[in-house]
Amino acid sequence: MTNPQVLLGELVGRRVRDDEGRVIGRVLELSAEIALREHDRDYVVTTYHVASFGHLDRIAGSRFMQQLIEMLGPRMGCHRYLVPWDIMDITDPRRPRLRRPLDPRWHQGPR
Amino acid sequence: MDERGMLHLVHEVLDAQLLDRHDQKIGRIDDLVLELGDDGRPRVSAVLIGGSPRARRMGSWIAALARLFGLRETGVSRVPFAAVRRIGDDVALDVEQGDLSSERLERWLREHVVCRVPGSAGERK
Repeated sequence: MTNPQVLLGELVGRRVRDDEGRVIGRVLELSAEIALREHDRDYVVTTYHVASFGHLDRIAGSRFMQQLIEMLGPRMGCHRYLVPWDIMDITDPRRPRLRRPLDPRWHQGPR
Repeated sequence: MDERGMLHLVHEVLDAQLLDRHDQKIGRIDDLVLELGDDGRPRVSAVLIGGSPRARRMGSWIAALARLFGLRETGVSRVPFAAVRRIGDDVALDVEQGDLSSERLERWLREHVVCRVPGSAGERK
């Protein structure tokens, strides 16, 4: 039986909701690291970068707008969360959500 | 890739230039397949080149146009991520250009579209 598969392109830019359904931001980036296995090596996801665009979230649907808004940073109410891989549920990549409440320690602060 | 060996999939891999076994350019990474392991952890399992992933990245109207003209999954090359030889400014794969199904679409576009554009003589192979 094959494991579930998700396309990165379907996940990036999607709104992320916490365990109570509140929007916390959008998926902006995934960090991956090499995990050595017995006969091979794999790149496994370690962290999801979730960017909160504040009141500009409505126009932050495209990568171009997301990067533009992030450049303006805290003046536009933009900040990031680094969510560990085991906290994010991406089984439906169009609706990623946290498995538990948002942890303030994930907040990265303005760029 | 940063000094800790961490790879940023969107910034460094998605849309990266691809090279084949002979370091010839063969297109760009149009999408990545993430496989969820038994523990739920996503791992990068494959690279997608061409077809509907490319149309989707170019915009929703182009994706709709591609569907209208019957561009479906047959134009997509799926390369296991284990075939990646090197990740740097480009991503080098251990594949032959001619083995990619997306290459057939690229060749058709070159022969029937690009070569008809004025000033495109340099694009011919």
